Amino acid sequence: MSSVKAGLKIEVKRGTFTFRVKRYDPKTGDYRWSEYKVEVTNRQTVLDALLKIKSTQDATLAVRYSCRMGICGSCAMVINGVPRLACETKPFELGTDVITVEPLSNLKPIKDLVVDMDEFFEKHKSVKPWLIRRDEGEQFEKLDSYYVQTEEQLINYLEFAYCIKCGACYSACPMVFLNKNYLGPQALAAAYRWSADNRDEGYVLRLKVIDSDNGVWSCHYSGTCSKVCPKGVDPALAINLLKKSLLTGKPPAR
Amino acid sequence: MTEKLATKRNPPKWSLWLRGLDEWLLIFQKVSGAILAIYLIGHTLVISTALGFGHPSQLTWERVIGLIEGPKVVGVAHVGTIIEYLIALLVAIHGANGIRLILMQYFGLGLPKPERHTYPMIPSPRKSPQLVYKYLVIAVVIVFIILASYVAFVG
Repeated sequence: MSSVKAGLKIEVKRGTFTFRVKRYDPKTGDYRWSEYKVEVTNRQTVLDALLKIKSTQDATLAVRYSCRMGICGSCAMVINGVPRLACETKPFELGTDVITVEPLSNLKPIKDLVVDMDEFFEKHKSVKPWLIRRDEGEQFEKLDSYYVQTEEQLINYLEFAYCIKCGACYSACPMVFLNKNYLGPQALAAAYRWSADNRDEGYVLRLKVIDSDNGVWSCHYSGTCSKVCPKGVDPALAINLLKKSLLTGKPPAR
Repeated sequence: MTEKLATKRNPPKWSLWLRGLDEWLLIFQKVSGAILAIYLIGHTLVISTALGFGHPSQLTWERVIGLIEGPKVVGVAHVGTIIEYLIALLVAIHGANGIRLILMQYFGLGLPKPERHTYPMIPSPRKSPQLVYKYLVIAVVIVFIILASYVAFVG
């Protein structure tokens, strides 16, 4: 089947895939595997397939999603062994007829593919990921001036500002698995993002959290976080730049 | 039956950590570090015993070192030579990769500057400056293996 729109020919293929879904049952506290056969097109995503399973085969399947277009970060799950966004992953592009779908690793399960993100967000919050100014009166009361920022200053942190907090990097990190208190790549990338912002003056306040055993020094650099990030944020680079700042005693370039 | 909140995290995907060069370098770094730490303790104990714990004598030295050296197995190599050869390989891997990490994290060697996103996005561990240093570590280790093999088994 094909359709023609504005001179662009779009090939639509159809195929049947077997979805092996790892499900957590909160009543028994155990995991079990369920298998579903679903027909999808090459234009549809794993999330579309899971929602089709939910509406036509098994209404008890629990999946979390919101925007369906890679912006909210709700639907991150381990697909064929790699943490990805279900709404950005197409079954046709995975290259396998059997697709395994599992909840994110390193996080506590709630039901089926839904995980508890509380611990992840608590760690994110601990690095004070917001604009900190020395003078709060000037920041919150005198709203008559702008904080000036040039293009070069913006680029210092922009790459890390694209994080959607989906938890893919946190799930992929071997050090988060080994050290449960480790802040993880997402929180540290957020710490760098704000510390490298020329408008921010809170780097010193964040040091207590990031310059600790559970901060950057728990990262042993496997780079997996950067490889799995669906938005191209590079947490490994942010962590290495933070380590460089701490070792040389110079704050991040801003 | 009531529902209960899980207390354990979801298990990791081990296969994810056996795919890339960075992950393998991390594994080698950790494993070689652990073995070298154990070896250091064993080495200190053996040499202290051979030196008679502060009362050195030729007889004790020869007896203890002779026991550790063992019989000849390949060419001029004793059992002890092979153990030392394997330990030297671990030192080469741990040392070369360790120096790479120190240079990268202290001097920023191979770290790209943050830049505006362009698609397709390439993460920094896969960018060429870092790849060059990783391949350099592998090259150094291979050269070391060749030289060490010559010294241990031929020369």
